[in-house]
Amino acid sequence: MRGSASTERPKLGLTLLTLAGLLILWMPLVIYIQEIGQFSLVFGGVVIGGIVLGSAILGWIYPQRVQIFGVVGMIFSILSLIGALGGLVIGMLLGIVGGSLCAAWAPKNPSGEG
Amino acid sequence: MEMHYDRKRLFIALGGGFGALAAILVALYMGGVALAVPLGGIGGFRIQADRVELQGFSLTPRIGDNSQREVSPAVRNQARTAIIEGLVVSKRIPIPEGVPGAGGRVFVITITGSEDQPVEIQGLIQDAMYLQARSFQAEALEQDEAPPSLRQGWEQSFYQLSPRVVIIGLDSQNNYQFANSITIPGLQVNARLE
Repeated sequence: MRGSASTERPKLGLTLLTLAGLLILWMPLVIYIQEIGQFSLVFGGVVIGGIVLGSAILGWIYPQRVQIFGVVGMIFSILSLIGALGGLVIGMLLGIVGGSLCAAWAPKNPSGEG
Repeated sequence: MEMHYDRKRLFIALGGGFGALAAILVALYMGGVALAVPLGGIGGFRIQADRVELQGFSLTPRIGDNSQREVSPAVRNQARTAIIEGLVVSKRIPIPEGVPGAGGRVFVITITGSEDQPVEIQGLIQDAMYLQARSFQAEALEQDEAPPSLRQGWEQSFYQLSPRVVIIGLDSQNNYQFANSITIPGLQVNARLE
């Protein structure tokens, strides 16, 4: 039995976006914990990674708004190039592809086009 | 209603995403930004500069390590922003005798920026074993130690704080450097054998 539009999820897109968020978050978070006592020098990277991961999590929870979360995740994946080295670049690329897949999640036309 | 990946939307989104990425890369290149990434832990290296201006400066003692020693006493300089003119970063790596053609020599890598535009660093942490300068100017320099009851570690037994420091003719040997972002206009990397 197929799920409805409100329960089906773009699993591949959300999985890639989740991995992107974890990769982007990983490096600044490690540096933040290990090296930074007083200053919040890599806080921007933590915030950007957190937003990408948050977008993916919200996409899993609210599939009816997954297109918006995908676009947000993709934008912040690109921004992660500055401040988090784009999750060693791989995270950024996964975020762009995953976010695009989420943004492309749409109802199938009855005619089968699209 | 059945859902699927709409191919047309997918191509538009991918095109927009990679287009935006390309635009950012072009903007960084046009702006002369060579590096805008966190840097850390490149081992024992030498930093020379004609003029260094540090804002939000602090200095504390620290025990670190480097490529020569497991335990190396150092001072930890931290600054919110640093503007550096005439920066030269160099690292010397002795090559083992067994390497054909280069054994016993020293591999020297040197990084410099443009002579006209200064290097800008945001969020600098640097552990220096040795510092020398022609002059050192500090505004409202506070030099003190935290009382034992308030110390969270021995590193707080001495500190210097200043909102603005200017160093002329800097020469330093360093264990470690971390920068939240570095802008090096006209970056040049030179490798040679001595």
